[in-house]
Amino acid sequence: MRSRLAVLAGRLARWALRLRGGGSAVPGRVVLAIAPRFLERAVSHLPLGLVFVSGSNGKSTTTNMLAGILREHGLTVFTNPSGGNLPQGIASAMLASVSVDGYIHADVGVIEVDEAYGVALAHALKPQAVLLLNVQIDQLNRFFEPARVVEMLRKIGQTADKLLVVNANDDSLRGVAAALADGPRTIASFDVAPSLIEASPHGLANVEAFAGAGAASLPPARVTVSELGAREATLVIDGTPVVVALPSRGLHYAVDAAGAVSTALELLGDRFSPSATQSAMTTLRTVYGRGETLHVRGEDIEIIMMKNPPSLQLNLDYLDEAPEQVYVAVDEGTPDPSWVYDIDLSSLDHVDVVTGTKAWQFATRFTYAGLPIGQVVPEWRAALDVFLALPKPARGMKTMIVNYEQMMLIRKHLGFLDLEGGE
Amino acid sequence: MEPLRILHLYPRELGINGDVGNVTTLVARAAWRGLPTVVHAHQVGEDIPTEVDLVHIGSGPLSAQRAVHEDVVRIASRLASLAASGVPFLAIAGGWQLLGRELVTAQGEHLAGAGIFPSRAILGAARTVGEVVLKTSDGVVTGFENHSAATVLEDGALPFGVVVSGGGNTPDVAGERFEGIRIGESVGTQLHGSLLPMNPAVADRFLLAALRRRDSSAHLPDAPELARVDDYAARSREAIIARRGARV
Ligand SMILES: [Zn+2]
Repeated sequence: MRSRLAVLAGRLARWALRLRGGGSAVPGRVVLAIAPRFLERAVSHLPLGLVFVSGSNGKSTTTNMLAGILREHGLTVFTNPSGGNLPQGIASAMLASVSVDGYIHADVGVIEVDEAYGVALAHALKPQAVLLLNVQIDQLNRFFEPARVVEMLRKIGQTADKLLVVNANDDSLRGVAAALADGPRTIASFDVAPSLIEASPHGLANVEAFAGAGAASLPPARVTVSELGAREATLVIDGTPVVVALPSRGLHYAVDAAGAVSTALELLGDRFSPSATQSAMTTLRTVYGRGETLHVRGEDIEIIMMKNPPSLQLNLDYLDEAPEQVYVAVDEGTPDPSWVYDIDLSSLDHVDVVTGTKAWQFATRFTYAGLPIGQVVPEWRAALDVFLALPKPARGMKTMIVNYEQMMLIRKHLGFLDLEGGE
Repeated sequence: MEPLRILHLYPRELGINGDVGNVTTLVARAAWRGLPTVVHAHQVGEDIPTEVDLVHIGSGPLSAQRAVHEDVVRIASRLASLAASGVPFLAIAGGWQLLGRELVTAQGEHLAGAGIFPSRAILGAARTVGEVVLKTSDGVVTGFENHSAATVLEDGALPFGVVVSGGGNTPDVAGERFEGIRIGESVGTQLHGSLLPMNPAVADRFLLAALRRRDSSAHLPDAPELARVDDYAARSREAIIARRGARV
């Protein structure tokens, strides 16, 4: 009874918010307050259980890929929308899928989880499988240091009953897999051909383990990224090359694809089909801000999200040429932007508009990088107007480099009212 | 003119908070003034070059500190003679702890430091994370701290600044709180890689100290590029002061 009430209250909140646009974490909070065990109950009837996807970078993209691949194999999949990786965001997502009896009726759930909140969620929801993508420098104001993130991911991995999939090119995750080697679960891995890592201007940007955990051995990868094209990659799956489409340029998207395919391969066993995988990857919608292009007032705007240093660096590395019109927006979602001094900005040749509460710090940094700046307009709405009023670029594409919080504000402001997000 | 020689200690292991920004700033401000620089990145196991004008060491977690600790002890006497000859040091957070007298881990393990700064850091205090506003002899300084160290200054050493807003050396102390350490022209601080970019007066004092060690009449010429970047830096500081509601 209590949980039925929770579902109704949450649905009402969700409906009200949809009218307003954005802010999707609120309905989840309503549900959690009324029925705290709502989450556990909702997923308890999934025949193939839950798959958790976590790591510093690529959670949303990989979750989206894995859900798409499993669907193409005929499974019904419950998943959370990108960025909605906190408990209340996940609850919000469940409201959309749960039936009035309080259960989600699907074959499998694929859920991206925040590294920190994922630990408690994993203990509550008991995933059958966990996919760990990478440990990179990320949100030091929250996580303090990478070693704490490694420990969180180890705890999440430990809850997987059946399957743990790790990125074999990540020293920290090799260590996690080694620490969990004696458990009940199958351990699988995926990797990237060494020549591709060497060719990437800043490698894979995973944290280096100074203590030598990187030497730990893993079962050989069944999925290897062997070639990278502009918007496609070749994955060698059990020895057979399969070309898959990627949502955008960059080796990091190929790594995400390898993680998703590797997990699907283990989950589906004999039912795994390379051609179903290919068609899933071709038809995926891009995830907000991860290689996404918005169409605004007859113009295309490419969104590059600076979630953290590695994601910004990798996205910049794979720009075809210096973008013609550049907007940079960073606010208090990035409490300490000092890390921007680590970023190689040589793929930019100027910035047109800098905005957000951290605008002056970014203007300072750009100047030290020798990049001319058009205008600094701290108030983001005014800045957006200035940027959109610039003449249509000759190559047809405007570029926005923004943090997550600014991306959400801009989307809403420009009339993109889809629900997303947990924060 | 002889280039200014900057020794950057352990950039691979220590530099988690964009600390290289401090070196970038020194190099750029020197270049705009027509002063060439050479940055020597010191890696574990290598020799310290004989001629050094300025030393920088960045921040990192305990795992990174452990990775370089043995090497710090190995080169400690070389660093001490550089310091004794008046070479200014800028040491950030974890790097400062390694160049202090001692670093005590949260588990009570004692790691000997290089002794450049008369300070001891004890890890495991409540963590302070956030923007900082200080009053220093270089004026109002802003930055960002993220640490769980209680740092004690010894031998009556002076702090880098008085905390107007933020945590500082011993965040739980009541009354007046201090941040960092200042000994001669050297500074140890918890503020990250935006310290010198955001506070050009501190950057220029380091440059001038390094030049004057070679030539006591040296001065820093003005350069047209400085006005704009220093204005951006001033507005960065103003934004932090406003966010923190600091009265300076
Ligand atoms: Zn993501």
